[in-house]
Parts: sequence; structure tokens; C-alpha cells
Amino acid sequence: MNYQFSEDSSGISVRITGDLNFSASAEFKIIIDRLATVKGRPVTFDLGGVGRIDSVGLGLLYIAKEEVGSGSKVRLKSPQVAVMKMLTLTEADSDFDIMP
Amino acid sequence: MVLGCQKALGVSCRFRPQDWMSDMQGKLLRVLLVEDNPGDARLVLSALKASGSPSFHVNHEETLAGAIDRLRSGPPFDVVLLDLGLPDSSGTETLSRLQAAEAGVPVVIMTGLDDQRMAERALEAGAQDYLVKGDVLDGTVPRTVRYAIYRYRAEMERQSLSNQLTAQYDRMAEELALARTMQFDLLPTPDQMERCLGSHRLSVEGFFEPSSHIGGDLWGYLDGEIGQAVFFAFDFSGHGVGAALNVFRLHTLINDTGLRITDPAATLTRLNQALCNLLPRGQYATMILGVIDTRAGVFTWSAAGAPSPIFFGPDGSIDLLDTRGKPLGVAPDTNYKNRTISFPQQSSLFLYSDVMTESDVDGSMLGEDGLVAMVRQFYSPSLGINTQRLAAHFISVAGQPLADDMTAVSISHVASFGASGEVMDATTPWDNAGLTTEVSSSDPALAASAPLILTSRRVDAITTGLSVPYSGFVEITSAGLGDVGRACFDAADRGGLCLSLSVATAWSCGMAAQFCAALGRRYRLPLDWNAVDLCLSEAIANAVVHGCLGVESGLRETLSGLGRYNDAVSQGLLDQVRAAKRVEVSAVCRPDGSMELTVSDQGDGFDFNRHLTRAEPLSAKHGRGLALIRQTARTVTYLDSGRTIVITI
Repeated sequence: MNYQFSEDSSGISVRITGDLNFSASAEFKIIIDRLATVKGRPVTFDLGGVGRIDSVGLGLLYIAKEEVGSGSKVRLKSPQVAVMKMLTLTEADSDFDIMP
Repeated sequence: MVLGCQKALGVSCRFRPQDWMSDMQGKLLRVLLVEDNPGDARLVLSALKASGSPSFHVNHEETLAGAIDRLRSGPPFDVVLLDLGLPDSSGTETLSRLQAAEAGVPVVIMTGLDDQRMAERALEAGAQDYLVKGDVLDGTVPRTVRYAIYRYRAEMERQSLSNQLTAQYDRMAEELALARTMQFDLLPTPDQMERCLGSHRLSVEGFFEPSSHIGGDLWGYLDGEIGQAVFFAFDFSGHGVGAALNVFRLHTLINDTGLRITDPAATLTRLNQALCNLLPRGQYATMILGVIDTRAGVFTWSAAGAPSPIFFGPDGSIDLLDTRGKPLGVAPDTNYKNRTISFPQQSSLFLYSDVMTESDVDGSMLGEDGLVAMVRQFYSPSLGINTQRLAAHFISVAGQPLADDMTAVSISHVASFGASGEVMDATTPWDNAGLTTEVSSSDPALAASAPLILTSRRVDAITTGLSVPYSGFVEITSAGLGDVGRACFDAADRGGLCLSLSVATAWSCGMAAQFCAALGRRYRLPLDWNAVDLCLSEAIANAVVHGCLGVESGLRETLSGLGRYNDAVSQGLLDQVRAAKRVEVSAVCRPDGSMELTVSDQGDGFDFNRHLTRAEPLSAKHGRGLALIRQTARTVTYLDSGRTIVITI
């Protein structure tokens, strides 16, 4: 898994590429650590480059959501079909703002 | 004082405040007086008329509507004197309506002695100043008007400069982003790396991260003569745009002859002479350029003061290679020399930029010894160096932003495997015929004998083993082959597919993705392949993390817990016993059109009955993998105290 941060007036965007799965937890923690320092700003995870996600990867998104803070929006942008199926199956689409 | 004159950024600078004040002297300033009280209007007119220089031309309106009409239809005014209490409007609304109708003119509010708060609110709403009506006979009015015009113009100029600067910075950011993309385009592509692996048996992983948008580092790979691959890494003095431009220079010089590099020292000597003619004093580059001849098993390199690469021999021995030599661009008559080292199969090389030894970790500079110890954590003889994880770990302990550009490249000479149909690279004498079976498939390609590939190496061999005509891949771990599960061979016997990997390999190779893709290619069945993928992903994640590594998912409840979880996983992967445990997956097509998936680990097992009855909340951060499998699969069965899960889709 790779990631890239960008920031503008609308908030922080994290573009993730590769598989968001059990082997991505160390890299993803770096992302969450960084997000935890800017609580209060909207965060968008651009998942357009994520081919697969498993329940560990999904759990990492929930930890990120918690760390960003309840007052902040966490959006999941451009999930691919397989990722969207997982989000739907686990009803994560009701916990995150999904942007097609 | 010159307001924001930014010539370096291309922002124009037109005004000086003192120029404005002197410009107003002797000029006729146009004033629109909006006042319904004739007495007050006369007082203001008198005060303005009494002013010598500048002189004022005053138009008078008694209503807001009249004022707006005049502002819109007549020649522009320099200032509006506005009473907030008019027949057709009152309070700060008078100001806001006027500004909405005509925004480009400064406004001075006229207010009574008892309306101070109203005046202050008007200032907050954008008025430049205010006048107290009872206090207009002592020269206050012309002075207030002049300063209101001055402040307004100054504010407009600041805004204009700010807009220009913002636009300029945006343009620079776009250009830097483009330059960054161009610099990353210089790096070897995944296709090139794949060709390098196919042609030379060299597995290459690179990491590159400039400290600013663009940087002074680069590494690269070039085809050499037959059987040879050329690698280089260099680092220009400084970083940022200047260093990056030098990167493009040197990259061009390396590639411009079109000749294959065979003699690293001769090439460095040529590059140095060219750079000495191009670089100004004080700019230079350190570099290592090497040729790996995989047929001869030799690495020949020449260096210009680059950081010493870390060499891992097949037996795990470590050497720091000699890279002494003058940096490029310093002395044109420098002759560089070649050095060589044996580079047999299962050797690895790690190239890096000096930020990796010069960064502070735990309060002191990491140094070469510290880096060697760190790289060793991410190295294994059978897997080489996991550069991506190493880089992520380094950045996490060195802290961001890094002080300099970072390059990290690992090159591993992988063991070769032989022609199809053979058991390859096996360390244990196996009866090949015993592993071969007739495949009960309608696919003619599968109807032939389908042996397993047995090898200690990975990635490309895994792909081959999972492809027709093979029926699977079994990694030879440090424990040999004696612990391979029977399910693998059963699957092969039944025309199925199997994959048996050490947990260390399973962790990094995308086991579920590879296996699922191979199943899809092999069996064109009307299955719900998303369900297959999901079940494999969840079962393999459980087998790796909880089964073999023995790490509890409950740690992933909080961010601090996630840190402990990651530490536990890292420790598990570094533990030679745990890292050699097997994760195995096999698949068999059944006569009823379903597929039977079996995933096993060599952990301690678990109480699966507890998981059968437990309901995790939907937003759980962990512990719902099995629930997802049950939700998706036709049937789920646990065997061997929970170490094996059998799923039908």
C-alpha cells in the first residue's frame, strides 16, 4: 500500500494505492498519526487506486475516523467495485460519506 | 515603505502610500454626500469648501436610492459621506445596501454624538471611517476624507498584491508538481523491473522520496550486455529545484550515448568530465554505478563517494562496499576505478542516500552500523530485502519531514528454477511422480500432468506455480518440506490448486490476491468471484496474523493499540520460528459446481465455537473476518482446533 497526502481549503486528502489489507497496518498507522495532528478538518480517503480491501483494512478506516474526531467528516472517494461491495456488505456506507 | 513589492515572484508593484498622499494634494476629489438633514449637509459642505488642497467637488443626495442612482450613472466618486438614518433606509442596512449596489468606493459614516456603537458596527461592516456630525468645523472632515481614500486604496492594493501572490504561488505549485512527476518518470518503471527479473533473475525494489517537491537524488536501471544489468544511484549537493535540474542533466548524460554500459569506471570518468564543464563551483554529485553479471555471478562497480551499499551474501554475511572516490563535478582529471565482488544467487544489495545514515533516530545519528542493523530486520535470505516496509519503518523512526532526499533500492539475485514439469530447487529429495496427477478438468491444458513447484524463492515462481500446467507452489522454508499440509497434495491429486507459503512470504506477496486471480484464470466457472476473493482474503488474514503470528486482533481498537499490534506483528515476522510457519490455501472444484476452499495455519488454534455465536457490531474495528466469511459462504467448517477452515462457495 502506498499513500500520498494533499491539502487544500476543503480539507485533507489521502490518496491510497495498492491493497488496503492486513499487511498495510504499519503504513496506515503513519497516515492516522499524521491525521491525528490536524483534528477538526474534513478528511477524504481517495480509494480510486485501492484494488482490494479486507476487514482489517476496513477497521483501519474506522480507527482513522475515530482519531480525526467526531466533528470532522471522513469521506471515501472513488471506491472500486470490489471495495464498494465490502463497504456495502458491512454497511460501512452508513458510517462514511461515500463519494462515487 | 514599499508595499509588497515582489519582483522576484513576478508580482507588479505600482503604489507607494506617500505617492498617494502627495497625489491627492492639488487634485479635485469627488465626494458624494448622502444626508437628508439640510443643516447637517450645509455644515459638511462648508467644512469641505474651507479645505484648501485637495479641493472637493461635492454632489448631494438626500436618499439612499438617489445616492445609488448617482453612483451607478454618473462619473466615479472618490468617497461617499453617508448618513445611516435616511428616509428610505436606516442603520447599518444603509451601508450594506450601498455597498451591495456599488462596492468600489470608500465610505465614511456620518453619525450623531449618541451613535458611537452604530458607527463602530459600520466600521466592522466595511466603512473606512466615521465623522461625528457635531464635530465638523475644525478641519476634521477633509482630513478624514483624505485618510479614508488613502486607507481604501492601500487596502485595495494589498488585496491585489495578495491575489497576485496567491496566483503566483498556485502556478509555482503546479509547476513543481509537474516537475515532480517528470522526476518520478525518470525512475525505473514496474515493467522494467519485471523485465529485469525475467531477464536477469534480479528482484529490484526501490523507494524514492524528495524532501521537498523535487530533489537531487535518483536511481536507475539500464539493460547491459547479455546477462548484465546496470544500476546507478546518485545524489547532488543541496536539494530542491537546483539539485533537481542537475538530476535531469546527469540522467541525460548517462543515457545520451545510447551505448550499453560495460565498464563502470570508464563511464564515471566520462560523466565526471562532462559535469565538470557544466556545474558551477560548489555543486557536485556522489554516485555509484555498477554492473551485475548474473551469469558470472559478479557485481562490478565504480563509485564517486556514494554511501557504501550493504551487501548480503547467500549465507547472510554482511559487507559494506568500498565507495571511495572523488565526487563528480569536482576534478576533471579524476580516474575512477572498478571494484568487484561475487554476487551469486541469493545475494542482495542495498543502495541508499546519505539521509538514511545521517538522520537522528532516538536522539543520535543512525550511522552505517545503525542502518545495517535496521536493514537486517527487513532482510531474509529467501526473501531479500523488503524495501517498502524498511522505508516506511525508517521514516516513522526518523520523523518527517526528512532532512534530505531519500533513495532506497534493494537488488536481490533470485535463485533460478528450471524447465516446466520439474521439481525445482528442492532441498529434500522428492519423488516428482508422486506429486503429479491427472487433472479432472475440461480445460485440455489441465488434462496433462500437473506437478507442483517447490522452491525457496518467491513472487515470480509463485505466479508460475499457480499457472497451467502446474497445480501449485510450495515454498521451501527453513523447516524444509516436512511440515507441508496434506491438504495441498490432496488438492493437487483432485485437480485443484494449492499454495503453501511461509508466513513471512504470505505477509508480503498478496497471497489471497494471487491465489484468487489464479483460480479465476484456471476455472472459468459461474461462481461469485467476489465472494471467493472476500473469503480467501479474510481467512488468509486470520491465518497469518492470528494463527501463525499469534497476534490478537483486539489490539486494533485504538490508535495506541494499533501501534502495539504493529509492533507485535513486526516481532512475529522477525521471529525465525514464527516467520517460517506455513499458511496454506487450496481449492478444489466440486461436481455440484461449487468450489471448496481450505485455508490452514500452523498456529495454536482457537475456540471457533465462541466466534460462531458472537455478533460484532457492524462498525467494529476488528474481529469480524469470520462473520464476513459466514455471511458470504455457502458453508463453513472448522477442523484441527480451528487451524483449518473449509469454505464452500
